[in-house]
Order: sequence, then structure tokens, then C-alpha cells
Amino acid sequence: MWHKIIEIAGWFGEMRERYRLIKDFNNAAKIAFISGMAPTLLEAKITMGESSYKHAFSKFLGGGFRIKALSGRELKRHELIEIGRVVLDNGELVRKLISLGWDTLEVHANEGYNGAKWCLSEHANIGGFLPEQND
Amino acid sequence: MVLTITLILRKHFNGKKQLAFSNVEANAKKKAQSSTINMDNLMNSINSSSELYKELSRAYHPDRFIGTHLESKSKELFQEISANKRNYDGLCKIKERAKEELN
Repeated sequence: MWHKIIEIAGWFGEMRERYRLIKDFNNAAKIAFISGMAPTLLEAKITMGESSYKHAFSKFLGGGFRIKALSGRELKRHELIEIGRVVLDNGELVRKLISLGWDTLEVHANEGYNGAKWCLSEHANIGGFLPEQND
Repeated sequence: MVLTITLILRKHFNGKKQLAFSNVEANAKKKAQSSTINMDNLMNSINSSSELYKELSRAYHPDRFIGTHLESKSKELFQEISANKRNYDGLCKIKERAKEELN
């Protein structure tokens, strides 16, 4: 029974981690927008994610990390990709996202129907478990 | 009931303390949990890294240093610039270095 309680406490701890990451991202985006450094306001939120991108540690119905840009116009494909690539190039962030149960990175603007999504596990350089041995 | 719970909790936590290397594991876990992503750098990278990359790759392109003693240094720096293409802080550091080493 006690290990169940500890398991539940661990689950809440992980959820807190997830929401803290989202809050940190949104705060940084807000500050960048208010100070005039960023031309668009970005907002991160948790979505369902793409079912084909699921991995062993994906959160049920919460595997999507969506970045929404309040751009006021339809963002071009290369602009969406650029935002996504910055996140994907940050190895520490990608690994943290995966470990906290996210599997999909989505980027879209508040106008238009264009969006881009990536499978996070393909960009985390996840290797095997044991180092290869030379025979 | 309360007494039982208190005793079990006490036993649980005391038991953990007695384990060898338990502190090492706890510290590593805490460190991993508290590792914060530098969100300011992430926002700067989203908004300004491409412009800075263009500026640096133009100013310190190895073609500008052909035949000089700085050629190999510029090649090395250019590789670093390419590796940090979407890392604003990394590019800023390289810019400082390039100013010192290539000018």
C-alpha cells in the first residue's frame, strides 16, 4: 500500500514538473514579447499529440507540446520550422520533454491552417542501453 | 491508526537514510529535477539567432582569411558557428572570441 502512495506522490511530482516547464516557457515568452525583443507572443500548452509518435514513457492524452504563435498573420512554413528547429536543437530540452512524457512537438500560428509537428524521440539521440563491444 | 502510520513512515524514511549511497542517488535525482532549461536563451534563439548567425557567418567566413595566418583559426571558428546556429548564447560567446582572435 505504501509504495502505491509513494508512486502517486511521484506521479504528482512529475505533473508539477510538466506544468513548471510550461509555465517557465510562457513566462519567458511573455517577457520577451513585452520587452519588444520578440515580434510574436508564443504560448506553450499540453495537447493530445500524435498517436503514431507515442513512446514507452508517453503520457496518456498529454503527449503533445504545442507552441502557439500569436503572429497576427499566417506564418510561413519556414518560419514554423525555424521555431521548431530551435527547440529540437536544444538537446537538454528535448530529453527533458521526453522524460516528462511528451512525444510530439507541434508549432502553429493563431491564424491559418498551417502547422508543423515532429516526433521528439527521433531528435533525442537515444542510443542503445549497453555500449557496443568490439569482438 | 495515526500511530501506525507515523511508525511506518518513520521506518520508511529511517530505512532510506541507512542505505549506503542513498544520499548520492537522492542528490543526483534532485539535481536532475531542478535542472532548469534556460528559457531566456531559448526565446533569444527563436527570435534572434538566425540574424546573428548570418552576421557572424558573413563576417568570419574562412574565405575572407585565405592565405593569411588566421585561415585555420577562422575555419575552426566557422565550424563552431555552424554547430551553434540556433543557440543565441553560444553565438554571442563565439562573437566575442572571434573579435579577439580574428581582428
